[in-house]
Amino acid sequence: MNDSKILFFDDEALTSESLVRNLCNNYSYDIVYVSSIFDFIDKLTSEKFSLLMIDVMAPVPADLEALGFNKEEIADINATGGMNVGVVLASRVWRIDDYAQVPVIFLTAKSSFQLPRKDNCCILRKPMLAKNISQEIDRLMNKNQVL
Amino acid sequence: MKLFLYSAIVLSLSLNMPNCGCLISENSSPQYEQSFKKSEKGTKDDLVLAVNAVNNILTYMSLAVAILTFATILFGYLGYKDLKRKIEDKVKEVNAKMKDIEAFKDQVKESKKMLDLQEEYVSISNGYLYQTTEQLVNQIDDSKIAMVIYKTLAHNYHVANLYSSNNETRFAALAYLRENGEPSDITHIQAMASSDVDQQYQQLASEIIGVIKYKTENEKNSHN
Repeated sequence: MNDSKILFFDDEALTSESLVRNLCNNYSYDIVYVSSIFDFIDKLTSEKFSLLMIDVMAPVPADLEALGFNKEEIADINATGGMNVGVVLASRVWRIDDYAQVPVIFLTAKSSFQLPRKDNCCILRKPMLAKNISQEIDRLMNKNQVL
Repeated sequence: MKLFLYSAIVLSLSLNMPNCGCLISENSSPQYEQSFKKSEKGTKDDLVLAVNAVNNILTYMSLAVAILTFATILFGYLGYKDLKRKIEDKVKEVNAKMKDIEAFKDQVKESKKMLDLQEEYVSISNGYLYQTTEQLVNQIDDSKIAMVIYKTLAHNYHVANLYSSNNETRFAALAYLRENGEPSDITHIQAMASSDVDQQYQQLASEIIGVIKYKTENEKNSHN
């Protein structure tokens, strides 16, 4: 049984819900799933999470400024048309004091992906078996505990 | 009716004109006759003839004007009746066509409802199929075999989602196919792009088609 809470953001609800069901039922994780960036930010401020799982590609939200993104981040998101929303979202989260060291798992179908220069993050290519995701979660959680 | 009455009065007045002319010529006063007797007889006859001629011209002109007025009113009335009937026929025709159009619009609405329902059904079925297979795939011990099935499942799921009316689902499908699309998917991406109202998605779709073609070409060249 794993006591740590995980926040998972992916705009594609059906596949994500199925994945969450797998991870919760077969690997006993406590996962909170959100399909919008607004809900993601909202959950981050209202609850405490030990690990984040973020989908890299997502539609660009309407009001990025209201969601706390700075000008450089907004320009970055708009320039790529939503192809790196997850990475920008992670950098936005790492600016929050409570989450400065939070481990992040990026999920993407992209073959080429520039991972942010952080120790506590990794990339998983979609589609990914629950078993492999579980291994990565455990690895990052343990690493974070050692640190 | 007023026009008819007016034309009848003009006509009757015109027909009475010759009598008026006769009265002038027959009831001329004795003083006039005496003075005319004093002058030459030829001059008197000429004058009477001239007056009668003028009288006759006026009479016939009045008659002609009356007939023309009557004819104009009659033709105008008949023309008006004909035009009115034609307009009424056209209005009936337009109304009938409007009814047909309304019926057609109702049919289109009904068809759209049915298509939406079918699309929803297909989308739900596609989702259920994905979820069920995904649960099964995750039970397979051999990760290699599981991944082969999982990749095929994810690929087919996203291709089917190109036809979804849900923006997020369509975006996810495009994002997936940008990296994992195959030449056989181009037809589906093109179909999506041609029917999508969102310009952003159309642009993304054409970009993905370009990426797939480029990848395929590169793979061919590397094999050669």
